[in-house]
Amino acid sequence: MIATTLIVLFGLMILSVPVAAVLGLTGVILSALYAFIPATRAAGTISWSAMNDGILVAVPLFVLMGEILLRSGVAARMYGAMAGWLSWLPGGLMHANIGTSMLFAATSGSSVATAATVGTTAIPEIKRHGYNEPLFLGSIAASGTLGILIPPSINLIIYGALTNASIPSLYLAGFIPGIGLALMFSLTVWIICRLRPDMAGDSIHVSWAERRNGLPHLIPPIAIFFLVVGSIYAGWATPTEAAALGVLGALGIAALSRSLTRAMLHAAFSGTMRTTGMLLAIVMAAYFLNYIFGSVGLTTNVVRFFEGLTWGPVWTLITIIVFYLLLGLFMETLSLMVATVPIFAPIVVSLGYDPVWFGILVILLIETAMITPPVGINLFVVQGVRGPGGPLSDVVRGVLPFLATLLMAVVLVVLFPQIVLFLPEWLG
Amino acid sequence: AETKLKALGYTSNLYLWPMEEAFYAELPAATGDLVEIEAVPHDLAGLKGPEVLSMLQDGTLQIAAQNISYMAGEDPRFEALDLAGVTLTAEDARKATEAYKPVLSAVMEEKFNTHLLGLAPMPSQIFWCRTEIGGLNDLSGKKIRVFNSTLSDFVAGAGGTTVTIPFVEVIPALQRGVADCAVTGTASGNSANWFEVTDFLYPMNVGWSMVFWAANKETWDGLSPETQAALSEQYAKLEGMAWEEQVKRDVDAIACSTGGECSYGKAANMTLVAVSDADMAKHAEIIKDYVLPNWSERCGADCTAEWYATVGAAIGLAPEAN
Amino acid sequence: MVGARKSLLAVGQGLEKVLKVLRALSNAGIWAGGAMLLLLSHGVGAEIILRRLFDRSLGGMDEIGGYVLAITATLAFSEALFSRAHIRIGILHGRLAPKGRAVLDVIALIGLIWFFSIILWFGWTMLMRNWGLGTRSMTPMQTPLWIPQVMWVAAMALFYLSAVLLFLQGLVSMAVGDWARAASLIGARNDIEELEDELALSAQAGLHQEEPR
Ligand code: NA
Ligand code: NA
Repeated sequence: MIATTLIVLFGLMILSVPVAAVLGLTGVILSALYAFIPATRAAGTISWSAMNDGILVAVPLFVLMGEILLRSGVAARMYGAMAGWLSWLPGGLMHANIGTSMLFAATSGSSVATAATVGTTAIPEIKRHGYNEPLFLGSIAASGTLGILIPPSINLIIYGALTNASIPSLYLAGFIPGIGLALMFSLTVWIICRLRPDMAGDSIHVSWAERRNGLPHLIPPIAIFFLVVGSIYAGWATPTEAAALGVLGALGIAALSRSLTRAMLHAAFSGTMRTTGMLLAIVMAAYFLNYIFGSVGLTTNVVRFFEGLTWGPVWTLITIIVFYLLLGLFMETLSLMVATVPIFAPIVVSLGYDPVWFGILVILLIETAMITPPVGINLFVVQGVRGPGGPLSDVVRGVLPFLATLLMAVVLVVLFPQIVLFLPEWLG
Repeated sequence: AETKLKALGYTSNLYLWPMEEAFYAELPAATGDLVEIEAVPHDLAGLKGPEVLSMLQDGTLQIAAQNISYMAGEDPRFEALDLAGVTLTAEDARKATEAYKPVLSAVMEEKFNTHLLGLAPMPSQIFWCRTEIGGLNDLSGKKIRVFNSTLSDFVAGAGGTTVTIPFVEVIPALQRGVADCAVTGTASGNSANWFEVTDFLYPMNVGWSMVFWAANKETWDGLSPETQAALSEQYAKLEGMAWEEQVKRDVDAIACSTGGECSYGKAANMTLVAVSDADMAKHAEIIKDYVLPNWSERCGADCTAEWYATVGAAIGLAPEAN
Repeated sequence: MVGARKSLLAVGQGLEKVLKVLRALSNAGIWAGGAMLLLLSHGVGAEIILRRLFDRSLGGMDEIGGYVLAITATLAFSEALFSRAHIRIGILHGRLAPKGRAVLDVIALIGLIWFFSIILWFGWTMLMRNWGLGTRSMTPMQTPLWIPQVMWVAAMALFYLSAVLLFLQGLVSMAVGDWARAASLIGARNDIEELEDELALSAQAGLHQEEPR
């Protein structure tokens, strides 16, 4: 049954069937082949209850919040300000790429939108300042993955919805690893540029006056962060409600910067609907597939297999990590998450691991999947932003050092769970 | 066994599932090899709950266990045994259930194409509060998280503000003060560590979360009379065991959460707030002025009359004479 | 031969007219979805203020949020379809010649139509059941479920119909040998197109890219 599942799943994917339909049809086929009860007949109620979810409404709300900030120019101005403050470091603008993406990627809900904003501004600078092109592109692709770890994060919300893990705890848990990973990425750039000064580009001189002038542009994203995360910890709002506050905050910022126009709203709504439609079609189909996994007994089989392992928790965990890394080579990230977390999270928790900790580990593994070829969404996006100028392999080459850093972060989080758990235990 | 069926058990994280698992394992032997039932709990089948009745109705499921309060929206009579505060003791609840079973049985058969096999409560729904309360009067002015209409009626009667928050968000909401109190089961609150975010446990029962076992009607009608008789007998036994276990679990869960003797749950040190005589008087008023009239409005005159003739008679509640 | 081509083109024009209506509906859906999300945000904002300062609650914002998600996201399926934003894996697709790609595009759309015909059918069955029984939500609000569900099913039907007509239109374009047009209708969006769409949205919003300092 597992073999059939994988064959159908990957077969349909290679035929370039839309991912939502791949997951759904895998469910339909499994149900027809193995279900004892006609499980597909519940397709209506299952998809309704997957989509009629008061928690997941945070997804389009965060997407909308990010879109408003993006289309009103806040993101682009923020990049300029970041560049002013960070470009003296060896590696120059690459640090601004990391900083901007980190603050932006998850809330905009779309790596494409974030990479487009950062990329279109930054890529002309590659030639002008003589950066090593692969490394520069790699820094955009890799830092685009950071946003899903640093709160607020759509992926953390979906993990919470799938496992009933506390979303405020997940937010707190993602904070230190997220900032830490951003610093590690910056350090990666620094070290490479120290070893190979030819990759670092010219040093860019920015006056203090320019830096000071840039500061106001850093306020909106920070204010939104405090509004969204702060309202949760002050006891004013639930995480879902906080997403709605984020939308109101973004509207306010757009109004203050005099960019709250009909055209801007239409652009933001269009972007929101595209991303939401794409995301929720996958989520809905993945919920349906999970239900079929359950009703054909696949979930039980996998659970029994892992319970039957006598390797102890550590080796079981390592097996699961390797499994994620392998699937992550080929699978789109959201479907990877929704299709596997309901199966693996209970196993990992029964082994004595913390569900919040596992959530962060899964996010790190999903980040890895976003930048591993052959199917790595951020690689494609950056290649797209760059336009016709060279092969995809440039981006892949450039992302390798960051991939190594990311894997190191996975190892650190496994060896020292306190990196993740310290903040939720202390403030929770 | 010649007859093989598939059943949906209750969710695997509660005590009922292991009981069901054992029940289904022994079923072939207990029925003289007449019938064999393979069962999966809800969560492993990927189900959330509200969809179960319609799946049972159209035959997607053959046999299923489900919480009846999930179906309050399908027919107001499904609320009848879970009306907030109406039956306070397991004894009364059992009397009410026995009296009302024929009504539910008929509803399920005629309206939902299902055959009722058994009904038993899960541990009591009670109040968990983060701020100090001394009794029912102190619920006044508090923000209380509720999840259904009858609870909302009760809280309104007590002078509280009802807030609705998705279940996943209740713990952080209690922790941060988005809500002051919330209602959940004695055992489920204990196993979900609610004692970490609340300090006061007020054990007035405001719901039983009755669970039913039922079969799709075509499936049931397709069984031989001997098999039907054997299954009815066996489910009655399961029902009896579930009632006994409920009392045990309720007592244990409250003791565990409030520093008493604890064998199933997790030990914690919440304050157990006593239900005083004054509380009982106020409680009777809330039932009379809020809970029953509002439900009666949802259910209609005939349904209300039927309720007083069955449940009302069994627990000694007569309709108000106008 | 020429006659067949002519009648195909006529069919194509007929389809185009219907698709124009569907695109307009999907476009209206952008405003409707955005407006619903904004309204919900304001409702939640009001709820938070009421709860915090006046110990009152509107009640049921979480439930309304669920309905808003179901309806908005399903409306968004159409917008994602027309802008070819539904994610497809391009390992094989990207390596083929236009005709090979077209074959995959057809298979992809058949897959999408197949799965969503199942969802639509059973969604419809669910709606009819809940309408017939008068099922309400099991919450204090007691919403009659057919109200949000009829909108959900309608949005799903809009998406389904759009997919079927796009599929037919794609087939017609292929039959008359217009591979470029077929690709622009049902082809996988490549990275460059995706970026162009992004920039078009920013340009529409009145944004100019700023020079970094
Ligand atoms: Na983020
Ligand atoms: Na990958």
